[in-house]
Amino acid sequence: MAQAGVLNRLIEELMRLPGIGQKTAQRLAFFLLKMDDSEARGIARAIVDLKEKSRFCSVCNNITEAEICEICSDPMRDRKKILVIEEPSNLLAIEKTKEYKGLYHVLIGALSPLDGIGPKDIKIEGLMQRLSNGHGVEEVIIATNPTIEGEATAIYLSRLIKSAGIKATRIAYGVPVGSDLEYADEVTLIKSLEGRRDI
Amino acid sequence: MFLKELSLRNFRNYIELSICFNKGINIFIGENAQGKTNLLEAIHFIHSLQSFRTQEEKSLISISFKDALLSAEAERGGSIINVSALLDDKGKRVKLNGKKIGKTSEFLSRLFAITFSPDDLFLIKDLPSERRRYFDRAILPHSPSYLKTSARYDSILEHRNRLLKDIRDAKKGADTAALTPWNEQLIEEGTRILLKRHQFVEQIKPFLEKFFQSISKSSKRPILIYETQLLPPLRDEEALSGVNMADEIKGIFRLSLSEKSREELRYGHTLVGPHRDDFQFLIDDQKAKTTASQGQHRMIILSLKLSEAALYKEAFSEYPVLLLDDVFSELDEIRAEALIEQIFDMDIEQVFITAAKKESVPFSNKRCSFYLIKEGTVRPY
Repeated sequence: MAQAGVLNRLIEELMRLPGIGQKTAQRLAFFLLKMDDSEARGIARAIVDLKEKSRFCSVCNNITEAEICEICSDPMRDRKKILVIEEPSNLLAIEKTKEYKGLYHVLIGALSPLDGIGPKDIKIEGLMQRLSNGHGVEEVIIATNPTIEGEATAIYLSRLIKSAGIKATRIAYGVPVGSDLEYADEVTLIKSLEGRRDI
Repeated sequence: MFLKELSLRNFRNYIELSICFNKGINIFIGENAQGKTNLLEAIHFIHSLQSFRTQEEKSLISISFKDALLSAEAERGGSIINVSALLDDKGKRVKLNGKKIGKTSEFLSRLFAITFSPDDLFLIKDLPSERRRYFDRAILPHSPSYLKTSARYDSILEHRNRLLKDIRDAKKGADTAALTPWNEQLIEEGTRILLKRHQFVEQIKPFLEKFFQSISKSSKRPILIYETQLLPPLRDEEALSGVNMADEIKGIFRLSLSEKSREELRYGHTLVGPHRDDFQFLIDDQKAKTTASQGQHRMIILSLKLSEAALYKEAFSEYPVLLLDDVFSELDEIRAEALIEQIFDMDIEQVFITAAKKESVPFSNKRCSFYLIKEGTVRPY
């Protein structure tokens, strides 16, 4: 079936999104076609607004509409702790727990020589400034991903942070809570054995 | 463990085959290019989910057919195991007792084959990378995490090599401080690999000596050595003690990285680590590579295979199936007899051997089942 030019264009554009292939893109496009005019415009506007109004927080690089994000400007937050993650989406995951009350720092990436990403290409300098300016930070919790790139980033950061005279900690490797040990993969089990603690 | 039934469809030159096997020694007799090795390859495949001849699994499918199917019924520790593998242009789909399996490593503790192929004789003279590949694969059933550790090590190595090149070429942002996290991880994962290889070689050693002496009917001492700069000198009692050894290796690893750091920056390449190591066979302290005869090479490799089988038995309390391709050529009558005697002596549950002629098999009339292979058909002989 020959499709109208605009429809084809939308399908092509939707296929740029992660996890969206030809079939899903078609389904979404036809769905949008059938939608109420106002609803479809709502989606379009939300995308435009996202690009026009959102930016990185000038302190922690979280996504925000203001100069400084809600978390950084919240007076109730514990300013003695900074938790470091790779991506803003990691921040959402930790916020969902409602347990962590400190501040964040988003690196927007991890060290990866193969992709040409070195220490200057991720937001390490900003983090070090936050530690040096007498803001009273006492602990930096490094929660980069347990990949070799995330691990390299953690090792690199820990040295810098310690040499600034601040405590650096790394989140633990472990077996997923509430699941059966037999379903954990061998490497995870070995790491969690090595990281065992007294009880 | 032993293989009771094997069915093949469109596998190499077997368009349709269904056959039952006995415990003990099974011998495939046939002229050249009739399908002896193909049959051995099928048996190997059903036990290890890979070919010992090719990485290109599509070439296992008979010419002008779309897919191949292998299925088998085996017995292990009194329980029946059904395996099937379907090969087509999308790859292979394996079922174990009717259920799809994901990881090969899970499979290797259920069914396993040790195979001698004349190609293995290159092992002694081949490049170090081939020997590393061989032993890494041999370690696998004994350490399910080894594959992932090796994969992690390889990625770390790639990142580190790129970084070394970038530093050498003075690319922006690349400085020696950026190397530290890659050094740490190289040491961490590299040490795991070193320890596993060391332990494996130490466990193989006594078996290798015993089997070599029995097959070669000599008192010469063969030794397998793991050649690396990163192991501490051996002290007998603590040779295998885990944690301390790991710490010692890490210390040596760190030291040699710093010693070689200038050279590494010049070459833009990682010069220290298990990816540079090698394995060496000695006979009476002489390098087998340069001094041993063809026959001795063959007996070393055969002893290595028997040692691997014995080690598997220690770990899993059952012998794997033993496959010997064209094992009697180049062995004189006395050694061929000694080999068969050793296999009987070990009491391996099931062995498959290929040979060109019935007369070349010693002990022909003893507890062996013979099969005649002709143009892709198999019948008792």
